[in-house]
Amino acid sequence: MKQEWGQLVEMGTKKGRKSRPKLKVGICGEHGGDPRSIDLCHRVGMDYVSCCSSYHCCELLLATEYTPAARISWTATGYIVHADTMAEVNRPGITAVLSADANLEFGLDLRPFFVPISTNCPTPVSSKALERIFGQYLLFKVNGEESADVIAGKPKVVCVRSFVPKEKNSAVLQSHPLSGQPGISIHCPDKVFEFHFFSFIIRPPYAE
Amino acid sequence: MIEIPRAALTADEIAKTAEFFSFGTNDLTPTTLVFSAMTSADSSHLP
Repeated sequence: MKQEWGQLVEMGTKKGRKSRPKLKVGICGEHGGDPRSIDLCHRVGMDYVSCCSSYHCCELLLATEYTPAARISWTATGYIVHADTMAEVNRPGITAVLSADANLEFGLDLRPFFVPISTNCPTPVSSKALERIFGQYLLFKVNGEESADVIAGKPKVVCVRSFVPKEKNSAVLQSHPLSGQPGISIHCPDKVFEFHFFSFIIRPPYAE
Repeated sequence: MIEIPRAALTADEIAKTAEFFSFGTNDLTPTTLVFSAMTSADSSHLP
């Protein structure tokens, strides 16, 4: 990255905290979905990034690939993007959510693994559909008794890609690392799960 | 929201009142670099 990039946000952050040392600083924009930009935001000391557009999902991949020291947390709203459609879950007991609109907070532990669902989804989709999409793994096993192995591994979602087909990081174009087929892949320490349309990577926490 | 270059330049003044900052880079980018946010939504163009 060229040295000149990020000067305004860095200066703004520093100057802001000069006046208010505990100032919470974040970013909301398309850059919030760009790994290297998220990395830059982290390095200049921001507290979070927010990917405000459904065209970009927060690329948490960055958190491990680019800023290994960062711990991350989903803190925001409960969206799941299903191809062209935003999906909403609103079901008791489900704490899982992947968000196109999530804030990625730096320096926080990822607990719980997913955040509670919220509601302001423009295009609600039934929880049944999400169960089909995410299957037992994310919605049931992670949050249920059967999730012991997953919880023990403390998996983290570290990559949620864009779902816009022609985008450069689109999950639609993302190939499964083993099969080479497009779709979702969930990587646990010793497991890979595959779904359609999405691409998630779950990795163990940094502490381990 | 820090969405124009001047806001970043005067961040110390703004922070006397504002309790948090959110850099609105979809606007900050084009107002700084004079092109659109969508074409600049990557790290090579973060203002």
